[in-house]
Amino acid sequence: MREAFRILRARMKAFWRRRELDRDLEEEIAFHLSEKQRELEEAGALAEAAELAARRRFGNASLVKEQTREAWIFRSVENTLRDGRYAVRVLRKAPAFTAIAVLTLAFGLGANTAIFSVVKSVLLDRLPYKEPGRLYKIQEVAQDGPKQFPLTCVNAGNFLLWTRQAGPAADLALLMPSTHYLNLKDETVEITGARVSANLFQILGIQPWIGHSFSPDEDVMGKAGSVILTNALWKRLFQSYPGIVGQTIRMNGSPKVVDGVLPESFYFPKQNELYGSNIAGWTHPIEYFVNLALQPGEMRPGLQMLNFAAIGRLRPGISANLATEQLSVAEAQVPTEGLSGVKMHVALHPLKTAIVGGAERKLWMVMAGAALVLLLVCVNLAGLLIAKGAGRAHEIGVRAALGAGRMDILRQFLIEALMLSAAGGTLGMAAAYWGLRVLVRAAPVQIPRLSSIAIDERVLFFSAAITVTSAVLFSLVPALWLSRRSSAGTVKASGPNTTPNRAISRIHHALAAMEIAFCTVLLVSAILLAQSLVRVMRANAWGNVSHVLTLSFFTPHTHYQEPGRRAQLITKVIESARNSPGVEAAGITTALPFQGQAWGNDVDFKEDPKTAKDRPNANWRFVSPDYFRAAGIGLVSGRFLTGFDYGRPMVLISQRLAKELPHVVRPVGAHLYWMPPGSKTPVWCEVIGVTADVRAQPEEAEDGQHQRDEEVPHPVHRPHRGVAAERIDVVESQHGRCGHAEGPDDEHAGQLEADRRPRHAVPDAPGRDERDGRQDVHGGGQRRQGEGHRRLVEAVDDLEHAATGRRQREHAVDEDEQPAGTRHPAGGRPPSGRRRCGLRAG
Amino acid sequence: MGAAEANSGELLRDTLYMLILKAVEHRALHGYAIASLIQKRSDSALKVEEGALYPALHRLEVRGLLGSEWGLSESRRRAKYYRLTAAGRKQLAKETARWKFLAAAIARVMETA
Repeated sequence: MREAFRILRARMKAFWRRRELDRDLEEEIAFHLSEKQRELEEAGALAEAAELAARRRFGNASLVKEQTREAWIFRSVENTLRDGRYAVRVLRKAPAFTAIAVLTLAFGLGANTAIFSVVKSVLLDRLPYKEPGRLYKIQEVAQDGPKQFPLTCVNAGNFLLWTRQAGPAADLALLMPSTHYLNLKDETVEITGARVSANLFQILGIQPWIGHSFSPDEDVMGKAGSVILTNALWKRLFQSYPGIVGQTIRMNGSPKVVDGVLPESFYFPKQNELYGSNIAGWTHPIEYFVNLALQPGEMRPGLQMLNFAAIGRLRPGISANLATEQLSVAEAQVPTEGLSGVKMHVALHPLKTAIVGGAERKLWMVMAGAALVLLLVCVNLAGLLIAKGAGRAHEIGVRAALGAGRMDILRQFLIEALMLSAAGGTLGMAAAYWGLRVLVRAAPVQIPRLSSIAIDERVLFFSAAITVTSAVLFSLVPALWLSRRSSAGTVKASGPNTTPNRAISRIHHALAAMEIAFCTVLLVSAILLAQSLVRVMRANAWGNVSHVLTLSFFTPHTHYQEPGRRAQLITKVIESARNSPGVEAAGITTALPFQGQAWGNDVDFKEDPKTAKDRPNANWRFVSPDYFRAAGIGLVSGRFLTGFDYGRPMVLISQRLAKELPHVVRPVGAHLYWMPPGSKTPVWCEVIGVTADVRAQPEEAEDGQHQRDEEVPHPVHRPHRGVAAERIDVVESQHGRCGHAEGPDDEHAGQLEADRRPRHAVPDAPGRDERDGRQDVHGGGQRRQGEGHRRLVEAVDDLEHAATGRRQREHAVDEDEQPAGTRHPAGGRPPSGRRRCGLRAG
Repeated sequence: MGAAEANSGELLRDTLYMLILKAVEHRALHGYAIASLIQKRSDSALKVEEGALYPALHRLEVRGLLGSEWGLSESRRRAKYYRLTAAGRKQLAKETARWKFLAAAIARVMETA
């Protein structure tokens, strides 16, 4: 053992002194020869003869040196280094081959690692909650009932029935997305979160990082007095102030006590990810949780107000089926409001499936594509390596003739393959890393759990193992054949142009066939995808959107309780936008086309009444008269709204909804019912016009499964007045080009960048989220807006000023109630970095 | 046959190592002097292959049984002198004992036969 250690140490020392040792050995042998020569000369030999004899006796000095040197070296290391140097020379001599092989490897490895990391983080990883397998999303189902049911969630009154009657099966939590203004000292920001029942965190098995969870007395029927912040919000707006717990902050102008701050690792789906469909305006991350504090109007059981999401944790030993049965018993008591033949029950979906379900098929499709690309990469690489190897018969023949053994040749090929793999792998890892960063930052499609995506080492190892194995395997095929030939001494036959033997040709042909097959599959998939894309683009076309700008603002109920106050603001906004230079038309809507579901209700025509299950499902949008012209939505028949239609029960329906009517009934002049919220008496609305079809939400074609037409809600437009919608979108259409062609001048560029930050807010005036029409169609993205957009922003800014000037003091931050962490020196930067808007000293 | 040859090779190589260690037992010698001493002490019965000498010397040095330093020879030339290390001395004692035991055993066999 000691001796082995001594040998290791001596060889390691020698590794760095190889040249010195060579010189010493040289000198030592020269001395030996000279001593021998001297001895022979002393015995009477002539100098020349003596030298010759001494050399002859000594034998092959080079061989002796080589054998002696072996005592000092790690033979395998030396050989590997030598082979490595040779491999570098070989690869440098064929730069095209090397570049193609390395890039192919990098592409295969990078794409697979990135995509599989996404699949793993989104689909395969468990939700980061306690025993996530027992968590379920609960949905109401109305068998043979109105069609909006598969698209909506839960009525809070119905939920209360479950909790009263089906307690032992599961613990249930209720929540609903919300938006609040957070009043800080220097600014007021709009934040998005959720109203939740007090037991939500207990059900998820999550403890706040500091502070405590909601107490049970703050439950469903409790007061909206507490808030729990996410770590990100606490850091962003409160600078991680450690004494935040127990402090009072103001949200929508009313005080709330901070109960706790959640851990950094806490994950919660975005606002609308718990709903079965895309809900307009609920696309934001959840940054805070407040008490549910149900209003009396929300607690009425029935088939309306299906606005909540319910999460349940099954008790140990209770199966999902049993829980479904027990909850369905309670659900059966839900009043069906005169709809006969409707059977109410509940459906339980595993929480993870509910969150990622929509993306699952798409992600697996992309993964399958990536796997196919990886296969293609392997085959391609195999073909390259075999072709390259087969062309090296001459070189290998020469090396064999010079004494290289079979193992030497195999090792040489192996090292070349490993070097290629290492280069490709490094490049691939870098590509995967950067690719994922780009994906997480600017995902082109909505992917749930996006924030939890990270490169997975096991995935990286798996992809690397596959590519390296294929590189090694296929570099050894020609090496094995060539080394066998060489060992048989057929140097002569292996001239530079020797063609590879039949076996190699056969492998080559097989590989080429496989490559063509894989390429065909990929090509066909690409063509199908392109076709779908064209179809989606056509289906989602919405007039000339390049001339349309939109801006979203938020008018909380807490500040717009006075009747007419909201309408007053809206009128001012429209006027101001309309009077901006270059604006052709301006209007407002409660939800833009493609933004998702808004006010979902079934519709029934007086002239053609249908049973509940046959009624078409509609999405109500409340608009101002000029909205259609501003948004570029065409009129098919009848007329648009005018200012005189406010307060009168009138609607415009889409062309597709009009087709639901029998031919004998003219759509214009027909009547459809509108059930005002909380009312039991329907209002019959006269159809005054039929608009071109505009979709409520984008057609989703990525998963190859198109929604059937009857499942797509039809947009129905009504005058906006008298409707209490908090979020409002301004739409304006402009003369000529706007946006990119006329980029903002430098003076305004900085301001625009600040303006582009979404969801500004002031206490009594709109929060905003500005975009152009194209973004609504194609799902967001950061675009710099042009002059026209600046004008719109400025117009609304002016209105904010006008609206807030009067009431600003009423909502000024109460300094005594602010935690120290929220205070900022006068003139200092606001903590969020958001532009302070509207809250001007007046 | 092959195995027997390998064994005899090993035996010879180990014997050469032993002879080298013995040659430098009392004073440091350079390679040529070691070969000459072995030849002289064996009355020219044992001739050290010069081609085998240097690999053997260097192996013993790597194994830490020999140490080396450069010095001046009688002919006033720079030469590498090998000396026995403590580990080498222990090894020599072990080899010597083994050799004596083996030689005596062989002698006994040869005498009785």
